[in-house]
Amino acid sequence: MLKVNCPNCGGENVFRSAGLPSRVCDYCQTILVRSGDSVEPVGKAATLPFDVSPIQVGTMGTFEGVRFTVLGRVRWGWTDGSWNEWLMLFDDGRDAWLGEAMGTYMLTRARPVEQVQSQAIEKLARGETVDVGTETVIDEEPFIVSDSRAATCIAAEGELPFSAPAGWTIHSIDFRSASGACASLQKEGDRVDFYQGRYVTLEELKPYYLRELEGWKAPSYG
Amino acid sequence: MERGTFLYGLWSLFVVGGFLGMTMYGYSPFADGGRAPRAGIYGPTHK
Amino acid sequence: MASTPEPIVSAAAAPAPATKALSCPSCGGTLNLRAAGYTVTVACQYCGSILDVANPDVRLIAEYHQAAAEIEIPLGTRGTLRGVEWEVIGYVQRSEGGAYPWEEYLLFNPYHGYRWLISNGRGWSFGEMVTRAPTWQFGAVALDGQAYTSFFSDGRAQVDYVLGEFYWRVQVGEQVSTDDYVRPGFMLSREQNAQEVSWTLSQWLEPDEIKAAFGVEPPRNPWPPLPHQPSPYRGRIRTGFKLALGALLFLTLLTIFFGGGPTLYKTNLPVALDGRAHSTTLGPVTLSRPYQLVSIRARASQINNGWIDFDYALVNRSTQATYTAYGLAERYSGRDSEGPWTEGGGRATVKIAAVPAGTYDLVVDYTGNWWAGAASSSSYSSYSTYSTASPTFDVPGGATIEVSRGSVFISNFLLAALLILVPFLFFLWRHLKFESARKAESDTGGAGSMFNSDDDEDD
Repeated sequence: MLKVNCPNCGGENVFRSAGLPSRVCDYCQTILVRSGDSVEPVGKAATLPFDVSPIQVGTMGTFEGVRFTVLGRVRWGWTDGSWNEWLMLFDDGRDAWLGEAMGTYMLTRARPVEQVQSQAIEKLARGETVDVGTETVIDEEPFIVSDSRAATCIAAEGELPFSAPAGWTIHSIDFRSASGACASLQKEGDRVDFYQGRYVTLEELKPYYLRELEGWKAPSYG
Repeated sequence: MERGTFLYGLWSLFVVGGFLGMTMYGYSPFADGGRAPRAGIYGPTHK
Repeated sequence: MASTPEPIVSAAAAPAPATKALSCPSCGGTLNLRAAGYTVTVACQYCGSILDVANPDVRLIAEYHQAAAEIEIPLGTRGTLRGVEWEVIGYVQRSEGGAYPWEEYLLFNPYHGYRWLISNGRGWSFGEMVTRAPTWQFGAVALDGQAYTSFFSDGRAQVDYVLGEFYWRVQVGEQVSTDDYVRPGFMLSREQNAQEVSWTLSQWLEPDEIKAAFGVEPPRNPWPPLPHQPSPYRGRIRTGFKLALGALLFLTLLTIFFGGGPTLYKTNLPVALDGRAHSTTLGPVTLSRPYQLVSIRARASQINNGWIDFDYALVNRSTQATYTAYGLAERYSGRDSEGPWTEGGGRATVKIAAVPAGTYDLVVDYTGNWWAGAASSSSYSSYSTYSTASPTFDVPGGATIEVSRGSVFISNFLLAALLILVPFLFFLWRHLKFESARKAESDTGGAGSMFNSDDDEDD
């Protein structure tokens, strides 16, 4: 746990995990990257637009028996809308992303793309393109390419594993399976990142410290 | 169990009960013959 | 990591606002976005213009100058269904190329996401987009272990009118190809456009449920029924069938258990077909059960071309109570253009009901008669004993009278079985009528019910 003062505005910010070296200053939106015990400013994140997401930084819950805390968020936009990716830090030190779009949630974890055995993934990793609708098998489960879109980072907050400056654009290819499993491959230049997971329901995560919204009663899952 | 099914159960019970009763009594609406008015004295009348 | 980290969220924080106000670029009206951050398209409720709110600057997509249509559940209405409160935030009217229109209301709850209320004028359904895909199985689809049979296929749904907020770029006129699969109470719908396939699972809502939730008054007994409307007789048929079967089984067991009884008296009477009345008293016949059915069987197996009237009187020796019955044993035979024929079996059984216990005498008054028509029958020559030339008229073997105790009338059993079955068959008929009307709407024929049929109802 590292508490530092923002070099830009002086406000106090906390770094809770060595695995999350980057964070957005809570006060001036400067992106701070940790090096040792000090931080460096590396750019600015845009302010988050207003939304009614029930998740907020500080929401906690449980997934597959392990407790997590939501520590950060990146908001991505594409031609037809935008969505949130919430950074979850688990008690066992691992992290995952909770993608929130159209009222549905997908929980995915980063996985080294070299480990993934799938023709489509290997093609994409080499730099080739794959059409939407292409079928492929990942870990013996059949998937279909459901989406291929350019996404731009609109805004960010909290602690993140990377810096998320406004305007940062990636290309994202999504995979869905019949059972509700999902995967995503993100390309930015030569860099390829792969995430794999499945759809989850908010109920399943038994979250607490959900955002309170006026006029709505937040459910308590016990 | 909804009301209609319950009533049907009651009805079935009534019919089966009625059948049992008729059987024990040896009765039927389809019998060929039954009690008739006394038509005279036949046979030995002493017990 | 600390085992109990202190919460990041401040407990004293005030609730965040749930709506965001924005101004319609066309008419200037103030719109309150209820699903800010998710909503991409808004159809202004004042002027009908379509706005793009995916970006911070609101863009005008299509401009209209019309007042919003009055819809059955106004935007902003809240209702509680299945324990969750929902707010109506969007409305879309769709149709099959302009025909068979239906309405869809987009419901939102920030903690539970989106649902749909679908109304087609005959009923309401509650729908949810599913994140898993069904699997194909012999012309049906399966989801979560439940099979759905095809009801509509190759449909084309188009958007005719929109109002309120949507999480995708809705356009009037946009089309998707649709397929619908049903099981009682549920419809699984597939929609596909150029980019993607989505599945929605909707559940038929009981009129009371939708009325309690959103105050609408749905038709109570819509005809024809909705594709996935469960037959109101379905449950009754299932239990009714088991009840009827159980009752019939019981009746059968009773019949077998109380079956025919022993012979109480048997004798043989000489009979002649001479038209003369005879009377004889048989007995004693002892009846031991409190009440019983008494069966009297008269058999004249060798009678031909004649009949015997039997008048029975069963008289209780002590009370002189009398029980009477009439029996007729007859048999005729001959030959005509089609060959030889016979009629009658030469036997008669009468059943006397509810005879109380006691010792009885059976008085039999009987008359044997010869059928005059036999003289004109061309084959009577083989029965020379009946020729008028030598009038013996004796029936060889006479008539055997057998008195027995039988306790079950088959006719009683049939009557009871009928009474058991009639209500069940009535409801079965109603159920089949419901199902056939429901399936008649399908364009694939045979859409799943308790009884599968191969009716093809193409119009």
